[in-house]
Amino acid sequence: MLKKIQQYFLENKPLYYQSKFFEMMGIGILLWVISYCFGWLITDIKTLQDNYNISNYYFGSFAIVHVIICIIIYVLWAFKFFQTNALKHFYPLSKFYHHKLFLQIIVPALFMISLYYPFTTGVYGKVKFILKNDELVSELKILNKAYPFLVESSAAYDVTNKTYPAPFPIASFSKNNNNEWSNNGVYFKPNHINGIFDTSNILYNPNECKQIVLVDNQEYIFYKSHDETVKFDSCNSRNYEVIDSFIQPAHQLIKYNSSVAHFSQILIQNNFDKLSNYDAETYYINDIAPNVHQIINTKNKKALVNIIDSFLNICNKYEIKHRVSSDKYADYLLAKDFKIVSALSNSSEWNNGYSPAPADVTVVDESPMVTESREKSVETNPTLGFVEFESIRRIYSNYQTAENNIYQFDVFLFCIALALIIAMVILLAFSVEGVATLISIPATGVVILLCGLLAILLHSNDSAMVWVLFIIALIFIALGYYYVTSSEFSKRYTSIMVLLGFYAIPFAATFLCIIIHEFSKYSIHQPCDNNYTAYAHKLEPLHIIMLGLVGFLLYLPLLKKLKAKAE
Amino acid sequence: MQNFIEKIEEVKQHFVLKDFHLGFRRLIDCAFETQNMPVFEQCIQLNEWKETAQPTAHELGVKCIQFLDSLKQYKVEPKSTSSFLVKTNDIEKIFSRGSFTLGRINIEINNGDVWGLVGENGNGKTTLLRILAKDLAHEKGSIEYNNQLNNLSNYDIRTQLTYIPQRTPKWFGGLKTNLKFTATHYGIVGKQNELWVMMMMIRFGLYQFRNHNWSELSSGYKMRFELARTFLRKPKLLLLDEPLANLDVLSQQIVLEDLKYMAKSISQPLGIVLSSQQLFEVEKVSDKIIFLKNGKPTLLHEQLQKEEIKKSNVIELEIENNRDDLEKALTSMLISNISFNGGQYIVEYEHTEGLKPLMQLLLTHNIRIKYVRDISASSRRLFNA
Repeated sequence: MLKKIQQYFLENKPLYYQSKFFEMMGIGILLWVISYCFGWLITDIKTLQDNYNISNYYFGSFAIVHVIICIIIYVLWAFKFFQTNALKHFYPLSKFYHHKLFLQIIVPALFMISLYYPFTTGVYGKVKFILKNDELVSELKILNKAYPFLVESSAAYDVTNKTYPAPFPIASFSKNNNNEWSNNGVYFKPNHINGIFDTSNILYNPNECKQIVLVDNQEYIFYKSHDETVKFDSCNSRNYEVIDSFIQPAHQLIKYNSSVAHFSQILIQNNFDKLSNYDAETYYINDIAPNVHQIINTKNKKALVNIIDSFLNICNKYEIKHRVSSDKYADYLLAKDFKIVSALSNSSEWNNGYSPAPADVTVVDESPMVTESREKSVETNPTLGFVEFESIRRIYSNYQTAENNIYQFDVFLFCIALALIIAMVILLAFSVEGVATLISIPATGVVILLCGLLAILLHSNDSAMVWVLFIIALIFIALGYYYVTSSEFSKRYTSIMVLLGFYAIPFAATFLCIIIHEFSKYSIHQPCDNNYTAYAHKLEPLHIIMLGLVGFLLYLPLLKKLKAKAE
Repeated sequence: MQNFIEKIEEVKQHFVLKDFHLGFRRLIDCAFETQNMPVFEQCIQLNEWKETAQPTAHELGVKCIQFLDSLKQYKVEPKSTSSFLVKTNDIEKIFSRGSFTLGRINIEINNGDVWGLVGENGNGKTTLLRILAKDLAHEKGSIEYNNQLNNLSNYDIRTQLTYIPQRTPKWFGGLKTNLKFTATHYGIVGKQNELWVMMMMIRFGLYQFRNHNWSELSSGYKMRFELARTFLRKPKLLLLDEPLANLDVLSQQIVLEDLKYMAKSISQPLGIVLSSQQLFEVEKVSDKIIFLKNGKPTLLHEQLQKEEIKKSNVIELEIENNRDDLEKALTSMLISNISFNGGQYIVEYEHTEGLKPLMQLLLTHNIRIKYVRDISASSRRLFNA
């Protein structure tokens, strides 16, 4: 069958025969299927717990296997490809010979390189297979309900890590139909991170001055903001949060002591569409907070035990580690009037059998006994109320990633760039004599070094330097064309110049994008602060790649001229 | 049309005279003239029958004549050979160190012409071929191509000018696969691809080697393969550098005769320029000869028009006697020059009866002749000039 197909291409489509396009596509598709199956097979609930971001799961051992497979396939393919070199023996008649060949190389290369996608799709498929949206939402309610009563980690005894004065936020933030925050939508920065207002992360825009609000004796600043990229020089830029306006929040802030009752933080917040029918803020205000307050007010042990038991069932289902005995732990909370922090910080609790985590004890006591205790494993010295919440968060976070089919855009860019480079290198090596190719590589190095020296000697600003480099790249591209069309130069020199022209294309594309980016620069005047610079046109790698691709395709006809050039 | 019928009749005569090998090659040429696929199919079947059934001479002759008669029904439009293919105007190639200059060359190659390019080693034969093929740049003069080629780009011109170097580059894979690959690149696709390739393999005696690869072929068959590949490209001008170098004596004659025959094709005539050291073989098939000495060309047909050349006879001679015996024998003749290169004598004299008086004298004086050739009209005489 394969022979018949090859025979068909040999007799009808010589370019396909030469490039082994369909064979390579077949291998590419097969690798996609294998990658998908592999991603599906190796994913389980443990995978979701162990990986912070499941969309990066591919970048483990599978990526290495993938690279090795690709190298083997491409070495074998290149061996065959260079053996059937039509250009070596005659002048193919095909009108767009190099363009067609280029496409027939780049498309399978793109397939072959981008196994990240089928692998990750397989992973996502398995995630969606083992986790169901409805179940997760209902379990989420239970998890969030129990969360205020449990200890997140051995380092989470500091109340500021988990709580802020309740009941906050008292209003549900929402977006309008235009996907903009409604008038009620505000952000806040608690006082303890107030320092970042004065660093380089946040820029002030509004004329009014910031207003500090006291909530539960803590200072807060409420404001509206948007993100913006600010460029320092040609290489460095940073994303800033630009404050549009400061807000005086109109809400009641009730002063409570730090306690379980005041938890306003919840375990899992969902910002993704698939789970958005569960609105964490609303649910907290309407359901969790009243429930927590009711249990605390009535000291309802049965309700507390039920909540914790339901929570533990979910933990057991997903094999999440915990050190919780619902009955004992409920007794402890009731005995301590739900004031976990103070209780666990108290070394007397240690002696009462409510074993705090070693880390927390370290804060208050560095005695040899505590040190010894810390060195013991968690299994032999269990921490009451401790749950691996991070595992739960990862399950939900990874599920949301899978459900929303989130892929790494950088991988896409990388795949395109690499496929482009592979196709370029193969086509140039295929079309230009080997000696010229070998000479062109160090020649390129010398040119780059000279450009570097020029940059140092000129000592000019970044913008001017980019222009100079762009013009140099254009000169090399033009020289390649001039050498090919002129009869004054030998074929070998012409080959080297054409290759340098090809190498200059990605540089020219990069510099052109930088120049366009620079042109889009504008300045924003700040009444209360310094001016800052913003850009209307972002510097996108995809634009550089596309521009480079177009440049390469436009330059490709030179290879035919070069082939036909007399020595 | 008349030409094709004449050609068929001529080929039939080969079978009548029992020249089966020659006849069969010419029969294939006649089939090529039709450019007709059913004819190609029949021709291939005929060849397979010939190879497998081992027919008697009579059976083969009858069947081939029948096939040739069947070709008469096809109309073969003769293609004009009057217009030039390539014309060079004072082209000159000066090598960078100034050690060698080729030119000035003024030649006009027409469709159907066979040009022989002769000269000692290092006198610019390969250089001239490469210049004509646009493979090598020249410093002075110009090359004109006919109207069909003139408006094309260099690349497109080179698709129609084929240059086969003396040492052909290595190729990979099977012989037939490579021929098919070339044919497909030149628009011969589908079923036609198989038929054209089969015909070409039969034509150049490659049929039995169709599955061989490069390393399994002798140098001679590699050259045949290159010729087959080249003819699949249907070139307008074929430039061959020492094509006979690796061929045995018999093959040299066959290849040269075949090349001449194919150049004179009715439907697909082409110009051929070939360089070779096999002077006499090349002269037999060439319409015109260029002799190159130190890069300077001499056109033999022009040279022979000169009165002093016309009058003088030049004889190449190999005898068992010594030089004294030869000179004594020829004292009665007006000899202008006798030269000896260690093996052969070149005797020059003026006489209207050519070789006859010289032979009479040699026989009269009992000179034992091993070899004699009249090279008066051959480029061989120029080698001594």
